[in-house]
Amino acid sequence: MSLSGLGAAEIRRRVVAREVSAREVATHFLDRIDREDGELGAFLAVDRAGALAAADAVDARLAGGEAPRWLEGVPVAVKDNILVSGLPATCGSRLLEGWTPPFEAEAVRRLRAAGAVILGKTNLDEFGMGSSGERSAYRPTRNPHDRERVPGGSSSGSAAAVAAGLVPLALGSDTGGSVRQPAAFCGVTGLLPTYGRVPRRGLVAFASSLDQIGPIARDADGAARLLVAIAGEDPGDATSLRGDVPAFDARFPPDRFRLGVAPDLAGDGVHAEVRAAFDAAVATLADAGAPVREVALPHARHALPAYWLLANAEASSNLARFDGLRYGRRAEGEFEDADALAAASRAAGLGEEVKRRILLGAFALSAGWSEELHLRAARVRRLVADDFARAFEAVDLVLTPTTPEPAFRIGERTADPVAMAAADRLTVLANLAGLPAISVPCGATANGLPVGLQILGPPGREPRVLGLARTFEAVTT
Amino acid sequence: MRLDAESLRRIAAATRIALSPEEEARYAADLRAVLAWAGSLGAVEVAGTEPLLRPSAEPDADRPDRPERGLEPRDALAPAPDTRDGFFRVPRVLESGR
Repeated sequence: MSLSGLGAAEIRRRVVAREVSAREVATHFLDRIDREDGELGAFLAVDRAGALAAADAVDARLAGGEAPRWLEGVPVAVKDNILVSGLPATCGSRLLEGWTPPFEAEAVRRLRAAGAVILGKTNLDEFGMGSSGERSAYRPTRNPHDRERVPGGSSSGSAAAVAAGLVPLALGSDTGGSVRQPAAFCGVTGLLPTYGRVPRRGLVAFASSLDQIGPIARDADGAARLLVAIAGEDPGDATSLRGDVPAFDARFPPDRFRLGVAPDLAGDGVHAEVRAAFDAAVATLADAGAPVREVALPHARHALPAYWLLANAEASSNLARFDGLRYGRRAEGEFEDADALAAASRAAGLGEEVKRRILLGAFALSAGWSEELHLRAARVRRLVADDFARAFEAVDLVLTPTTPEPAFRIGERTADPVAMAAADRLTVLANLAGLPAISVPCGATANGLPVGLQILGPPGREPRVLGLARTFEAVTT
Repeated sequence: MRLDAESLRRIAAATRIALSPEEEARYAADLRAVLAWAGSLGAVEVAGTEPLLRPSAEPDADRPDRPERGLEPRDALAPAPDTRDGFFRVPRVLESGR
């Protein structure tokens, strides 16, 4: 089988066993990227020289008899809002065009320490703001299953690259679904870890109470392997979880977990074929012995507007730093003062969607409105989190479709921000409540568009989320 | 929810984004549409519910206040558009409320 069809575990096994060199592995994927990414648009930067140097270092270590590391020789791609030393970080924005960061993300440092070979930076909706991959300032990314359709976003390039076999593992970031939704649209697996599980140092912040770095892979095992490499406390991230990291490789019998489905999330707006694939997935798990019952999530239908106000309020603060004064693109010309220069740089360098969200977010925080908009949204957030806490007294995991619809056509939603946002209405739940959640493929529509099954667990419970994902894969192959 | 071009202009100034009059009107209309949609939250019963501003029950971690080498000045200045004598060079910075 071609290397592109292999998972991370098998690639590592072959490299460590010297059946194939890390250089051959890296070359294989780099060549594939060269051949196919022109059309797909998954990568913004490819580092052939750096990747081959890292691969050669892996081969030298193994030749020298050193103990193999966790991801020895496994190629990984990194979303372009996660800083990698020596490579540009555009965040999909013209404002950061030409900028190379002076330090590296902790998650990336951990990947290198595990022996991973970084191939390049993947495309994204600008600053993580989008659900389609159409809001990159550079070029759109296309869905490998149908080039006229979106791959989802904002981790559009990472999901498309894994789905197209351009790389076995990729890092994305997820604020309201930006790892899971593109994973669902592209037919791969994407995990949102528990809030704090993966350090955010070196992830360009969008919404600090919602953002997490998450793995994208071909299957649950790949996602788990990548998570092992990057999870754990970081003194450089005050929100990172302290204490031991649980094992993510546990397997459980199919009847081990009580599963919940929420009628509150069904009905209006779920595409008939998505509903059918979801119902079939639940039935498959039930047939395998899992007890399934209904749970109530009465505030879930308010989650999306609450998320929209909270995320964009935080974004208006986090993106204030991008002003061209100390780094990034600065507007040309004479300006009266630094604020005028900053305003011109931001006007020229930020895309429309980013500006819209900053303006909305600042309005939601403004005097006279913050109580009714921002704080009300935060109270609704607590109600959503409390709904889940109650549900998790009765069940161990909650299942939903990952998205209400399959991948839409390029250009179909760009004129309607509310319709675009609706793609995330089932994924924002986990970010609001700080829950781990995974999207795994659970079939396709009649015209071949992938459908995702979302599995949510209580905070800290990635082992059972991954465990059920593995069970589902096992009973459906 | 009143969001006219004047309110939008103030927000744009506060967030340092230069907008043309046409853009002010367009973004004001966009925001009105989003706020109308988000106004559905007004119907939710939130009395007695504290805001949840971040989802972790753990407080943020402290670390000892110990001097360490951080980003070297030359690395911080390297990507700058304009520097002089080890400083970032910008047009004058005025106090707010001028």
